[in-house]
Parts: sequence; structure tokens; C-alpha cells
Amino acid sequence: MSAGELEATLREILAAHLEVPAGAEAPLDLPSLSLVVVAEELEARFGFVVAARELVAANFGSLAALVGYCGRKTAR
Amino acid sequence: MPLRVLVPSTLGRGVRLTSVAAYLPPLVVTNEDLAALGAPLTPDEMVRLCGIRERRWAAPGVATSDLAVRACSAALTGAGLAPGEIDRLILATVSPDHLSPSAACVAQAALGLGDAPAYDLTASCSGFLYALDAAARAVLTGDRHVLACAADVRSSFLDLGDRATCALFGDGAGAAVVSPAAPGVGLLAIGLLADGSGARSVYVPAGGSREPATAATVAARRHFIRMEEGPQVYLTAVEGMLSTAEGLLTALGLTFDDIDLVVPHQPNRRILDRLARLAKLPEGKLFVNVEKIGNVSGATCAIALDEALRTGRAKAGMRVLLLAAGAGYTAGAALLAVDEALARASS
Repeated sequence: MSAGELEATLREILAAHLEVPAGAEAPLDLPSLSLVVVAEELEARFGFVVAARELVAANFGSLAALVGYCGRKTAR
Repeated sequence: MPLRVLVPSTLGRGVRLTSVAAYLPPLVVTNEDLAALGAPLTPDEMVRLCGIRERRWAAPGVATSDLAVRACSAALTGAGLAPGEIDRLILATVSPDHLSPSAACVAQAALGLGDAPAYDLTASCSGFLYALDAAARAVLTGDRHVLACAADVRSSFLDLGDRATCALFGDGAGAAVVSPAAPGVGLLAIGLLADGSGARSVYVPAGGSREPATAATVAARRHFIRMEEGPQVYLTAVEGMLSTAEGLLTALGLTFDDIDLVVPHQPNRRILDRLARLAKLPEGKLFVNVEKIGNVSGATCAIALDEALRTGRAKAGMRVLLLAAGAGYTAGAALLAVDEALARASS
């Protein structure tokens, strides 16, 4: 999956939980209670497991961060 | 670091659970009741987020020791023991009647345990397994019978305006009589761990020595349960239960395939579904009662074990794996071989 396709997929997943900002670097205002739901949707979609220590802004703070995180996890 | 596991048979002795019992207060609080009381989630949101539909609450004025006494009395009856035959009472709780003295001492007097030592321990949602570990060690060093109890009245510390916690917690108690046995019988192994880096994951900020209760702390609602990093707590709970389970099973040369039933702490339904998925547990191997009981902190695992035994989900001859993880962080796992007498005492 290309970075563009990954970003489009993530936008689709996130759209169920918040208004996704147009800019990939803009902060994601993901409600706390939705964060786990999003994490589990990522697991189901991409087949990796999200660790508790990975639930940080560096991975989930923006769409760009999330693209990078999912890219690294799926590359393993 | 590998999980430190107590295997009684390696000491040439054994420890068994002579009986298990639980007590739930009669007041049923549904999600609709919580919404009517002002909780900031709809009943449907509560079900979607935590899978809990109802829980029990203690009536005003009823304290943790009151619930503990009911559970311990039932456990004594199940074991066919008189109070005078109990050498020790260990009560795991995070909601004692008072900061001092222990709820265990209040319960000890109410139960008529004579001069048997009684003390509280605090291990949050791992409370029952911590009490069981302490009870097993007491039996291995000479006690005849020990009451291992976990009880909590979490509703007294619940902020109904807090989205993260308002629907999660209920009240109740569970207890087991722990007794000597032949090696290789009953409690086959138990392992505990703690990771204090999570000390503020789920906590009650005020009312202790660091932040004594004042009008200001009460006004700021800091005497209620706070869970400031809910998503991390959620994933950590699963990781804690999985790692302690795998640590215990590995130490014994076993896998989940060798286990007949897993009875975990019941923090919320989503956590249990995640645990089943990551542990690759087949349908029916995980005991779940969170929908009607909620999270009763340290008592949850004991309440679940009691229900599993009473309903025949845990039967004589089965290997049952008890699992818990909670605030602190704390975690524990115990492997129990259910014997005929335990199954009979708890039915």
C-alpha cells in the first residue's frame, strides 16, 4: 500500500470518530474513548497489535504521525 | 524479568481452596439509572464503550467490611468451618471503611474470628489474587485455614459526571477459604507482579497523605476515582493479564491449550474480547460476567470464580486459570485444579 493509499484508508477509519483535518500535520482531536476503538480498527485492518506504550501523540497525534506509525508497523 | 511463581508442590506441600463464595448487594443499577442520575453517556454508549449493562451498588451506609463479612460467612459455611478454625483474614480492598483501621479488623470482629490476625492489602483489581498469594504462603508456613477475601464499594468513590469511569464500577465481595492439601492438589501455582510506573493510571487523587482531604479537594472532586489515561490503561490491562498468564504457564511447561477455563478480572467487555483474541482463546474458554456485574475492582475475579463454580462452568477435574491486572500497575495469575470438594462446596 502506498503512502497515499494508507492516508486515504486512515482518513476513512478516522472519519467515523472525528472531523479529520485537511492538513496531515494538523493535530487530531481524537476523543480519549475513541482512541482504543481506532487502535483496534487499525489492528483489524492491518493485522498488527498496538502496544500500550505506542498510544502516544508521536504515533496518534496527527494524520501524518498515524501514517508513519502504520507504515512502520506494517513494514515489520 | 520472568514472573516469580509460587508452586506449592515444589515445597513438598499443597494448598487448596476449600470453598469460594461471593456477595453482591441487592441494588441493581442499570445504564438507564446512571443516565437518569446525570451520567454524561447514553445507555447505548455505555454498552458500546464497556459492554456493561448493569452493576450492583451498596446501599448508603453499607461499607466494604459489611460486604466482606457476607462473602466470608458464606465461604465459611461452604467449607463447613467454624470462625474459630480460621487462623488469618486477608482482605484486599481499595475502598476500606476508613483510612484507619483496616476493614479487615472490622470484618474480623463481625465474623467472630477471635484473635486471628486480620489485615487489608491494596492491589486494586488484582486484589483477590494478591490475597490468595498471601493466604497460600500463610498456609505453607503453618496456618490451618485462611480467609482470602476481596471486597470493594467503588460506588462511594464514583464521579457520575466522569465519562471515563461513570459506567465501569460496581460493588461486591468474594472470598475463599484456603487450606493445606497434598502436593499437586488445588492451587497449583500463583504468580504476581507490579509495575509502579502506572501508579497514577487509575487513582483517587485526594484523601491520602499526599493530598489530604480539604474543602478545596472535595470541591475539585479529587476524592473520586480518576482514570486519566484510559486508552493506555485499557491496553496495559490486556498486556498485564497476557504476560502474567504466559509467564505462569511457561514456568509450568503449559500453554493455554492445557487450560479448561480462563476466569479473568472483568474490567470491561472490550478488554475481555481483546484478551480472548490475542490469547487465541476458543469461544467459551473465557468466563465473562461483566455485563451484569461490572468492574468490582479486586473482588471481580473472586465473584467470577464463584459464579463459574456455582453454574458448573468450572467443574471438578478442570484446570482453571485466574487472571487479573489493575491499577498500580499490578497483575497476577493463578492455576487452580478444581477438586470434587471445592465444586461441591461452591454449588
